[in-house]
Amino acid sequence: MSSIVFIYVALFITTFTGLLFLITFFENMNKMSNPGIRKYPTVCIVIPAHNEEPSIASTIESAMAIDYPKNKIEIFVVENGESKDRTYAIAKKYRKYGIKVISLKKGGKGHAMNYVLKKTKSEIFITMDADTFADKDVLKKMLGYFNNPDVMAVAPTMKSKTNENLSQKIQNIEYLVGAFLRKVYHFLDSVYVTPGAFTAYRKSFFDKYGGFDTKNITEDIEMTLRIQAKRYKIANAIDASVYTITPKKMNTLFWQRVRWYLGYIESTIQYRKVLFSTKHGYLGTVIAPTAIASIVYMIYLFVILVGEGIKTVIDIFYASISGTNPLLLLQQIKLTPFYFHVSIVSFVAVLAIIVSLLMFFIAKSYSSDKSDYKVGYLGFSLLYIFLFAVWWISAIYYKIFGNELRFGGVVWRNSLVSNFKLAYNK
Amino acid sequence: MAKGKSKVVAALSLTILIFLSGFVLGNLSVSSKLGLVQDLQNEIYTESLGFEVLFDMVETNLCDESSLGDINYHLTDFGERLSYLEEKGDEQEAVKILKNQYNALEIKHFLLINKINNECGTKYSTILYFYGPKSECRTCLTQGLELSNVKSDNHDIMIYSFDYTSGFAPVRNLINTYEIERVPALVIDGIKYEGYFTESKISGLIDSN
Repeated sequence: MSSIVFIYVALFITTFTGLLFLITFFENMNKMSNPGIRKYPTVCIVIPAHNEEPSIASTIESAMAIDYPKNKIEIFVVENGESKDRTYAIAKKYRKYGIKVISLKKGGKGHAMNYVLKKTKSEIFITMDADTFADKDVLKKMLGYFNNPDVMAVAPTMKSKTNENLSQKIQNIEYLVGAFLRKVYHFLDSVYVTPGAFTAYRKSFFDKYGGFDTKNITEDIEMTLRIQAKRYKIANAIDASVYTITPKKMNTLFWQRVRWYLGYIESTIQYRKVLFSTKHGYLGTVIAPTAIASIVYMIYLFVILVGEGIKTVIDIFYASISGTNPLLLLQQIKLTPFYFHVSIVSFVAVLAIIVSLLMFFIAKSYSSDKSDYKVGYLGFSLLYIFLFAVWWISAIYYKIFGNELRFGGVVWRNSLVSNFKLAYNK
Repeated sequence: MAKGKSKVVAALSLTILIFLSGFVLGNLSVSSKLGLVQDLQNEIYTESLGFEVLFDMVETNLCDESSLGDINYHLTDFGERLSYLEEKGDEQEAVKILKNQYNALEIKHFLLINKINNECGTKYSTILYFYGPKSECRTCLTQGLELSNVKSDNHDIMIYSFDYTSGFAPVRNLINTYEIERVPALVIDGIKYEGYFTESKISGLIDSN
């Protein structure tokens, strides 16, 4: 396919999905608020923790502060994988407040959550990461969605706890755009990602279909797709806010995303029949295929932009070694009407920027977000495509050629090459 | 489900509408650009006639410089617009014809200036600039910009740019006359200089001549 045809196809898909999302949103604008709890269910919050000394105390206190009938809520902290810091010692101090603190030798969030799943009799099971903090009214806003017996999971709006540097500011915008999309997916019955940091599940689903997949490095994605595969619903409470400590360093962010995207790849392969089937409505026919298409053309766009960037660097290099001022190259930019060129690509690109701004401000308004967004939005607009493409290219590379990767207490060795070698040696 | 389908149909229809509008706008832009190419061609044609008249005037009143300034301005403007069209890569054939016409105009102007210098005792400096395509001459882009700066500092310097790979006979004739072997190359007041020259170096060379 020639590049221009590719660009047109990509633009067409992007425009179509963007419009479908906006139409869906405007059609359901009066259904944005949460339905309210009819009868308070019993709730179990589990906080798995591995080397979480800096944040574990605040997370436990945040869970304790949630506004919910005290006789209907239990909180578990599961230190796992033999943390090397004081996570367990700090958590133990909260036993006097009724928090159940457990230490498991075996590492992994999935193991920790499955352990509690066997212990609890609560109707709602909530996973909460040890660096996550919730608003007091979070459960009152989320749990009303379980009034519908078909709803098996409810996701809140995730936000960045602090926005100190560019990395966190960009993630804050990404989370807000994600909040809009998740609400639209909710209306389309197509939520395929719930935040691993805080999601509420109906416990009976686990009783029927088993606990978390401990072999999967993103057990939350696997669980979400499993719920979709069994034809149940996943809801989103856009007005319920949960805050997570987002990575400050680009390096930490990189490895977080490599883990997430490796998880997406593996779960997508596992549930390919759900993701690309007309039986699964919008998820199978529109959302999943366009999500994959968007990854492909973001990588393609990245390659083109990097190619152009390299050409410019070469021009600047030659200009420099010729003894001239590289700023001369700026003289090429002409702004008179003769040099103005309108094409369908620029026309749709402007439209895409408007649509993405609209999505962002809708999410900001409905999730009552007060954070300053200007620097973050600028960084997001200019850099996100590069970050997104690098994360995806790296994840695909590791899925094909990677050796062993360690994520927290979990070891991943599931690349195609290492699996092939394993099979060959047998 | 019917409601769901109508949503998809609405999104699809709007997308098609946006794409059609984009195509219409894009085509309008291209046609206006084609119009601009056409305009430029007409302008160059008219200016050529102007040059013919100027040449006629040489016999009667060559040293009256009043009409020269306006023609110099137009020649520079044509040059800039042509390089933009060349870079855009649209309508290559039309642009190639334009380029030959423009080169012919440049050479006529160059000869006229030489004649004025000889007969009227003026000292207009002339620079013939030979450049190559980006793939063969990475420094040509900035060399052109250096020359633009030289020109903007001193309007009495006449700069004429020629594509080294041009097949146009008068241009090939110039290349052979000055024995140009590599680009970028400059012929400043009749003396050949090959390689890259910064604005200050070029000014120095003009002064030394």
